[in-house]
Amino acid sequence: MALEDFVSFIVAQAIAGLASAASLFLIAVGLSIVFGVTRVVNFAHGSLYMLGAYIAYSLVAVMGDSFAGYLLALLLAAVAVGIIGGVIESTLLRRIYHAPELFQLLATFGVVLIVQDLTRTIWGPDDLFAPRMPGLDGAIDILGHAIPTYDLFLIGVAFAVLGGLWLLFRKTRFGVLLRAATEDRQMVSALGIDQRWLFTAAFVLGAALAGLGGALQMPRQAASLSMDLSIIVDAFVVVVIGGMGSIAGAFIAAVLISELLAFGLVIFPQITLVLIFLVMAVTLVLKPSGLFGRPEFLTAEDVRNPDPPLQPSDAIAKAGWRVLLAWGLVAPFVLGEFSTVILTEIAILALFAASLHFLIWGGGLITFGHAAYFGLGAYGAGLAVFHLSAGMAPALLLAPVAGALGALLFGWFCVRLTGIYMAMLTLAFAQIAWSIAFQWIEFTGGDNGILGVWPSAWASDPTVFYYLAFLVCAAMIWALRHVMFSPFGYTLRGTRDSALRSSAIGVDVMRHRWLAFTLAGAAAGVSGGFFAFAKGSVFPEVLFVSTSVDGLVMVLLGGMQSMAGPILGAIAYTEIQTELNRVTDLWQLVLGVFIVALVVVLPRGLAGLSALLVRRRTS
Amino acid sequence: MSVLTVTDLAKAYGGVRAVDGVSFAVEAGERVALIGPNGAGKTTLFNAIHGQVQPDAGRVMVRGAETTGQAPHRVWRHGVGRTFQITATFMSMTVLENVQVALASYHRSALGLGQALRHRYRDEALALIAQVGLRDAANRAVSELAYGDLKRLELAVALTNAPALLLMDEPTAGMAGDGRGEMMKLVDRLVADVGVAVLFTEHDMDVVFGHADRVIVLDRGRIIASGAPDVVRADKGVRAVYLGTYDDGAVVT
Amino acid sequence: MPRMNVRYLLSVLFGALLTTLAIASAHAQQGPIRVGEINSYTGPLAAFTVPYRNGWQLAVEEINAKGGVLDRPLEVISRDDGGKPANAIKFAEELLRRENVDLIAGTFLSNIGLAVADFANRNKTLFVASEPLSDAVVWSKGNPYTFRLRPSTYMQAAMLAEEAAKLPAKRWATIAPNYEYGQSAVKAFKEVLKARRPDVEFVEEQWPALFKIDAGATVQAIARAKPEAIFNVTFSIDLAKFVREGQLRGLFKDREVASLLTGEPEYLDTLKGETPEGWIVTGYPWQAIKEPAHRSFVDAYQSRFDDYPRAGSIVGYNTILTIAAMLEKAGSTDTAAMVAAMKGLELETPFGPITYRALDHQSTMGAYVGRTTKVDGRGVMVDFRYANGADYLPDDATVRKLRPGN
Repeated sequence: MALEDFVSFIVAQAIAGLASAASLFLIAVGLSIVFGVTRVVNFAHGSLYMLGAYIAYSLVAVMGDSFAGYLLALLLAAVAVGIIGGVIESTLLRRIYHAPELFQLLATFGVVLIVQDLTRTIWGPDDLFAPRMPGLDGAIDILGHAIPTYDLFLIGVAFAVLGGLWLLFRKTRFGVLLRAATEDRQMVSALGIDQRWLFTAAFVLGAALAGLGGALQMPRQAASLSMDLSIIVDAFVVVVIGGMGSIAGAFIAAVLISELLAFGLVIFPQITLVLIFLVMAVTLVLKPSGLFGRPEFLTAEDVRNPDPPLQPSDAIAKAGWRVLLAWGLVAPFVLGEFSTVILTEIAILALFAASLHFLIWGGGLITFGHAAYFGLGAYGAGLAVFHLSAGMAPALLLAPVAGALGALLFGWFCVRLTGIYMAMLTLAFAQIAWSIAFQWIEFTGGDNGILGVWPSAWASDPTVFYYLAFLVCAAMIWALRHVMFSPFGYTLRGTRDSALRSSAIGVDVMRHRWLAFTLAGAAAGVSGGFFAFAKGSVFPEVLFVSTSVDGLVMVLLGGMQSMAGPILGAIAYTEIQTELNRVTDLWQLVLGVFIVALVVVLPRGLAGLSALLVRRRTS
Repeated sequence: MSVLTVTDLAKAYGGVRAVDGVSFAVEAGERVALIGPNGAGKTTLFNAIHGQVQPDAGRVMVRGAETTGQAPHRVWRHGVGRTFQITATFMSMTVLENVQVALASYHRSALGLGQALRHRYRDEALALIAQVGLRDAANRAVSELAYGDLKRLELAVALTNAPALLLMDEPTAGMAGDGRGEMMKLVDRLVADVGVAVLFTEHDMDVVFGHADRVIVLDRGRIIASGAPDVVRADKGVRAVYLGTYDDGAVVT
Repeated sequence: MPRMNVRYLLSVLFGALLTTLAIASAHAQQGPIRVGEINSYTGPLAAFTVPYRNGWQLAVEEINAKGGVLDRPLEVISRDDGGKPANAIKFAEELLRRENVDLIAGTFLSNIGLAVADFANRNKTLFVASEPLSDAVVWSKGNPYTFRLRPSTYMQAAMLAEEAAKLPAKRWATIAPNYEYGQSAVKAFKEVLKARRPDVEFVEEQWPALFKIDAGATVQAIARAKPEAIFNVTFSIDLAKFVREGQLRGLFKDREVASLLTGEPEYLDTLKGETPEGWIVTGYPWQAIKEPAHRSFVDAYQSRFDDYPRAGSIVGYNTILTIAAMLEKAGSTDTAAMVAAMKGLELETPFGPITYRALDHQSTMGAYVGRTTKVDGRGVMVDFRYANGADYLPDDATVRKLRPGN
C-alpha cells in the first residue's frame, strides 16, 4: 500500500515536471534557434514570451468561450509575436549583425526595457489571469492523483512542436538551410542564399515559439510584468545545458531541469533556486559545450574587426585625464551637496565598469556574472561590519579579498570554457551567490539585507567619503589601465587575439585568464565595498543579474575601445537614470530607446562619438 | 642526440586512425618535409608533436626530454617554435609588440605588472624583426600587413625562444610564387645561421624538393617512404599514393 | 595620433558637461511643507504602488483644498526606486539634500523600507514607512526616526492564527515564498497558533522561490502529507498559479486554508473566476465596509480616479492623514518636534481611529479578516470583521525585547 502510494506519487510528480518542461522547452528552443542561426544572444526573448501571454489574454477575453476559440486565440498570439519579432529583426537587429556580439546583447536589452514599459502602458500594471481553457478545465485521475487535463495537453503540444521542428529541419529546404546556417555560416553564403531572409525567418520562428510559450501559460498562470526577466535566465540555462543551437538538447535539458525541480522540492524545498544553476555549472564543467552543443561555438577569437594597437597617452590625452581628475577634485565645491552623493556613486560604478572592461576588452573574457565580485566585495564589507563589528577601514580592506577569492574560485571553472559558454557559467556562479545571499537568512540577512554599514565617523561627511571613494577608485582605475600596458596586460590581450598563438609562445592561457579574473574580481570587490558604505546597506540585489547587466550597459555605452569608455559610461548611465526618473514614469522606455538608438548610430559608444565627429569634420 | 624523436605515435578519431604508429627523428640543422595527400594525418601529427592533441600512444622527445602529451606552452619551453597553416598572430598589436609579448614569455615575465611592455626587450625584438625582413614594418599594426608579411612575423615570433626545432605548417600556403621562394630562402638562411631544425608540411612540391634535406611521406596515418628527396621521388609507393591527388608529373619532375 | 587626442579631450569634456548639466541644484523653498516620497512605481510592483499613489494624491488634494497644514500647503515630491534598495537610497539622498524635504515617507518592499529607515536614522530624518510589512522595521531594526503605518507581517499572521485556532484542524501544512517575508510570516503564524493550540502539528513546509513557484509539483507535495489545513503566504502570480493548480488537483477539497493578504483587492481581483471558496484571509473588502468615514473615502476616490480603491489606496491615503495630523500636533517641521508628535499620535482614518504606539512606533491600523467567496465571477470577502491592530501585538515586555534599539 505504502509502496503503491509512493509509486503513484512519483508518477504524478513526473507528469507535473513534464508539464513545466513543456513550457520551458517552447521558450528555450526559440532562443536556441535564434542563437544558432544569427548568433545573437537575444535578451529580449523573455519579453516576446511576455507579449505572447498578454496578447493571448486579450484575445481569450474576446474569443475564448469555446475550446476552438481559446486555441485559436493562443495560436493568433503566437503569430502576432512572430510578426513583432520580424519587425524587431528587420528594423533593429539587421543593422547590427556585424557589430560585436555584446552590442547585439545591449540592443536586445534596450528592447527589454521598451517592451516592459509599453506593456505596462497598454495592459496596465495589474496581473491578468485568464480563465481556464474550455474543455481542458478539469482533471483526470491517474493512479489516484488528479492530473489537470491541460497539463497533458501542454505536454502533447511540446512533443508536437518537437516533432514539427524535427520535420521542418530535416525535411524542408528552409529547415535544411537553417541547419546549415547553424552549423556552418560560410556554407550558406557559398550556396548563394540571401542570408537576410534566412535570418529574419529564423527570428520570426523563434519569436513565434516564444509567443506560443507565453500564450500557452495563460491557462496556468497570470500574465505579469515580471514574466520577461524571470523566464529569460531560466531559458538561457536550458539552452546552455542542452547546447546552443540544439533542438533536442533544449528538450532534454528542459525535461532534466523541470524533473529535478519537481522532485527536488520534495526533498530540499528550500534550495530549488540554487539547484538549476548548480546543474548548469556541473554540466558546463563536465561538458563545456553543453549536452548537444558543438565545440565550434567555443571559438571566441574574433578577427573580423581587430582593435587598433594600444596607444600610450600622449600630451593631450594626458591633459584630458588630468582635467577629469581635477574636475573630480573640485566638483563637490562647484556643485551642490547632493551632487557629491551622485559623484560618489559614479566613481564607484566607474571602477566596477572598468574592472569589467578590463576583462572584456583586455582579455576578451565576456562575463554575464560580474555582479558576483562586486556583490562579494559588498557582502565582504557588510558581513565584516555585521558579524565582526569591523570598522570601515578593515571592512574596506576585506572587500577586494572577498572579490578576489570569489573570482579565484569561480574563475578556475570559468576559464576552462570560452565564448558564450563561459559567459553563461559566470552568470550561473553569480546567480548561485545571489541565491545564497537571498535565502541564507541567518548569515546574510536574506532579502532584508545587512543594515548599518555606514562610514566611520571621520568619513561620515558625504564630501569626505566622496574624496575617499574618488581617490581610491581613481587609483584603482589607473592601476587597471597600467596593467593593460604591462607585460601581463599585453599577454592577456594576446590570449584574446589568438589563444593558439599564445600557447605556442609558452603562455599558459587558462592560468593567465584565471589571474585576470582574480585581478578584476579584486577591483570589482573594492567598488562593491565602497558601494556598501555609500548606501549604508547590502542587499542580495548587488549580486543579481541586473547588476551584471548594468555593468555591461555602462561599458558598452561608454565605448569598448577606449580606456575612458567605462568612466563615460558610468557617468552617462547614472545621470540618465537619476534625471529621467525625476521627469517621467516611463524612464525605462526612454532609456531603452536611447540604448537602441545608440547601438544603431554609435556602435563604438560615447567615446566613439568624438571620433565620429572628428571624422565628419575632416571629411 | 636528435632534436626531435617521435616513436610509435598514434592518434585515432572515432574509428579513424589519423596517425598510426609513426616513428622518425629530426637532427639539428636538418630540414625535413612531411608530405602526403589530404587526410594523410600531417596536421594531426603536427598537433600531437606540439601538444595540441593528446596522442593515444607513443612518445615524443625533444632534445632528449620527454614532451609526450604536454600542453603547447610547455612544449615551447623545450625549444619548439611553431607557425600555423593559417597565421596566428595578435591582430590588435603592432609587429614589434607581437614579438615583445613572445619575448616577455621567453624571459618569464608574462605575469609582470610593472614596467610597460613597450619599454622592454625592444632591441631584442627589433633584431628578430630585422632577421625576417620586417624592420620597416615594426610599428605597423598587424591587421594592416600583407599575408606574406604575416608569415614572416610568425616566423620572427617563433624564433623568440631560440628554438632548436621549428614546426612549420604549410609555410608558403596562400603566398604567391615569388613570396614562396623568399620565404623558403629565409628558412634556409636561418638553418644555416643558427642551426635550427625545421619540420614542415607543404603542398608545393617545388618547395619540398627544392628546400628539404629529407622527405617523409605519410599516407593514412603511416609513413610509407622516407629519405632524400630524389629517393622519395622515385619511390613506386609514393607515386601510387599521389596518383589522383597530384598529377604524375608533379612528383616526378 | 591626432584623432586619439581629440577623442580623449572630447570624451573628458563630454563627461564633465554631463555632470554639470545634471546637477543643477534646487534651492529650498519657504512655501509648502515638502514631503519626500519613494516607492516602486515601475516594474511588476506598479500594480500595488499605483493605487497607493492615488490614495496619497487624493489626501494631499483634500488637505490642500482645506488650506493645507499649519497654513502651508503640502507638497509631495515622489521618486521611483524601480524596486531596488540602492536606488531608493540614492533618491532619499536626493530628496534630502537637493529637494530639502522635511520628512520622507513611502516604500513598499520590506528591504527598501529597511534601507530607507536606516538611512533616516543615520540622517536624523523622520521616515513614515507606509507599506513595508517586515517586523524588523519597527522591532529588530527599529530606530527613533522610523514609524510604520501598515499592519505588519506578525500582526496579520496573528489575526489568521486566531481564526485558525478556532478550527478543529490539527495537521497543518505551510507554503510560503522563500525569503524573509515568507519565513517571518510562517514563524509568526506557528508561534501564535501553537500558543493557542499546543495540539497542532506542522506536517509539511513548502518554500517555493519567489515568483517561480512550480505549482503542480508543489501542490502534490503538500497533498502527499495529508494535512487538514494549509497556511498560505504566497501572493501575486505565485498565488494565482497555486490556487489554480490546487483547485484542479483537489488540494483544497475538505481542507481549511488560511491565507495572508489574499483578501486584498490587489490579489483577490486577479483570481476572478478562480477565487477559492471559504478561505480565511486578511484583506480589504472595500465594497462592503459600511462605516461613513470609509464610504466617503470610497466615493471621493471613485469620483477622482474612476476606479475603486485597493488596500494600497487606503494605506497611501492614511499616510498623508498621518503626516498632516502629526504636523498639526508638532506645530513645526522641526524633526525633533515631528518625531515627538509621532509618538502616541492619534488620528481618525477611514478604518477608524489609529494610534502610533510610542513603544515601538507601530500604528494600530488593522485589517479585515473574513472568508472568501465568489460573487458574479469575482472574489469578495464575506463574514468579515475589522481586526484592530492593537489587539494583535505582543505584550509590551515582549516588544521591548524584540526592539533592542530602544
